[in-house]
Amino acid sequence: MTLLSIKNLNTAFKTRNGEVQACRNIDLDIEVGQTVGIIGETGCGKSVLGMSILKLLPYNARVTGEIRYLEQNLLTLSDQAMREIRGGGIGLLPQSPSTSLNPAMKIGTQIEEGLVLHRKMGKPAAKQKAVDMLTFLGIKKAKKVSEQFPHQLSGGMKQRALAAISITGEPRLLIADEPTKGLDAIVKTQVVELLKQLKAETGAALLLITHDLKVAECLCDKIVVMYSGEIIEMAATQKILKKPAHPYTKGLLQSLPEAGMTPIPGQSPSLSQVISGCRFYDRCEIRQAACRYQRVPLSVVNGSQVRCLYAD
Amino acid sequence: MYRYIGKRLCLLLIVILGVTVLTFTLMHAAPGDMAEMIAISRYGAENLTTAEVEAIRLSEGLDSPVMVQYFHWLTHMISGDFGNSLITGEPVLEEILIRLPATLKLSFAALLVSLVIAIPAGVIAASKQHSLMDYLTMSSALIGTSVPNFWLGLLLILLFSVTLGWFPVFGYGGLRYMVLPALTLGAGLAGITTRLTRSSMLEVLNQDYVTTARSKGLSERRIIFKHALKNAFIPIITVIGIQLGHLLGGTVIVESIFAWPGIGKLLVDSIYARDFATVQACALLFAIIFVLINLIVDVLYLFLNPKISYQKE
Repeated sequence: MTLLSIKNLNTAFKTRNGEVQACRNIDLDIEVGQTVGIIGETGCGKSVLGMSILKLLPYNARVTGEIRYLEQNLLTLSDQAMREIRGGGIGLLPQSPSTSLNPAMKIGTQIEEGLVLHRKMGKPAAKQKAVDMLTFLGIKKAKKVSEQFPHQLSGGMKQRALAAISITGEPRLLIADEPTKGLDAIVKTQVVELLKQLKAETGAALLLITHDLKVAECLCDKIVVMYSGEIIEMAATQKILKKPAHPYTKGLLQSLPEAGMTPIPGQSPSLSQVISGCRFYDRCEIRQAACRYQRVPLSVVNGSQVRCLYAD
Repeated sequence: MYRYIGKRLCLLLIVILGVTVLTFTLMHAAPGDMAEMIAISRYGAENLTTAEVEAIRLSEGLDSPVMVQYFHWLTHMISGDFGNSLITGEPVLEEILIRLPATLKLSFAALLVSLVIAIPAGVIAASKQHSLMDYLTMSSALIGTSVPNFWLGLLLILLFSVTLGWFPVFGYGGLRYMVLPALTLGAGLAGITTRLTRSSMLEVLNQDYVTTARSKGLSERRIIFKHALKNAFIPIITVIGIQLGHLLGGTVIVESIFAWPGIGKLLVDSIYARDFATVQACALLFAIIFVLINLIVDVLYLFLNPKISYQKE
């Protein structure tokens, strides 16, 4: 069953220097319980995609298209109804644990809020549940920690506290925005374990936004590769890692340390740049004359969805 | 905690010493012969004799070097004797204590007025950024800050006292007498506080933890009051503290306009009369209040920002 269905999503920001289009014609389905990874370099629009789903973008954002969660189109939903979805239907595990917790509020209180709101718990019950959740997520002396403020916690503990917050409303979809950004290998492994644990506990689907292919490989059923605001390839995890079809995906895999760290030459185009043809044209090794001006649709090549005229 | 407060109180002594030296020097550096000015204040400028001036010079010790005069004053002050007014001959401390309540009343009324206007206005402007409401609030705040309070005071008197007759023109008495001076003094403060509240709120509302709060599905009201306001208050409290200090300066002008019998008016009158015993005591009082307010603000941080702890755990 399809949990979340995104159709022709476009997200643009009005800025002084013109319109920045961060997401272009995104089509994406997430099944119940499925883990989908969105891969791409910094600035490719993957975090904006996540925030578009939750409608947590700044005021200058304009989102068009359709985001269907179960039977509701989130884009036409009222603020009130959208708040029910946030936390209750779709949870967020935010980027950068060090700044994502309120510095002036006790950890326990920050977890309780969601419990009171979505699970209609009383204060004392929510308090106990918050401690239980922290314990479950591997925090020792959870009772004491719940009485502490964020600055008294280590980075890993903050991440666990945020993980607890993200599942307080028993969401059916969890959006994890770069959960391993800037972490060392050991902590990264712990976060991967944490995400597995969250999934096992809640049975929720997971939309994992990351630039780390290894992390995506460990967790995801399906991988979506984004480039300059567009989805350029989408397939089952093993399929994409073993037989990438798009030249960008191939380049991405070759730039991994174990593949010899061969970089892709050039830089991705600015998101405000209007390009009539393929957005990867300037950096592509197999480009042809047609790629320059012809709009490239997503098409099925060997079972993968690929946005390339000459993919094999 | 207590040790910290003790330390701050020790610093207070140094500040006080500095302030007294400064006012003493300035008073003596002011143009005109001090003994003569005092004589004029006491007996009037007409038929003033040299003998009278010299008598004052001797009796008030103005003939000794300034250093000696200062230490003379200082030793008396430490034993609680602030001396007598050079004009009325009344003890200075008594005069100040009589007038202090009037100034405190006016200052706190003005602060209250400014906060009641500024905090809601700033919060609303921030939560509805780029709306008409926001622009209106910010323009009024700009006007509030820019208008000098002696002018605003006169305008308010013209409108509310002379034309409408709602409030008395000047004087001291019940609540009705307080409205215009408090409004005059509070308006300028409100402007600054509104702008600060807005920018502080906006900064906080852009923080990651507010996004986290939103992602929980909390209502905008809860996000603003439970999550943002407390964090936004830290810079606001600092500025309110500093403002309270400046309020005392503001009372000097506003008390003069509205003939409000407070310390500010006393200070102005004493400066004109070169009643340096009174000036000295008033300046001292302002300094002490200023430092104490700053201390109170720093202690308030404890309750707002859990990261600050003044004691070693």
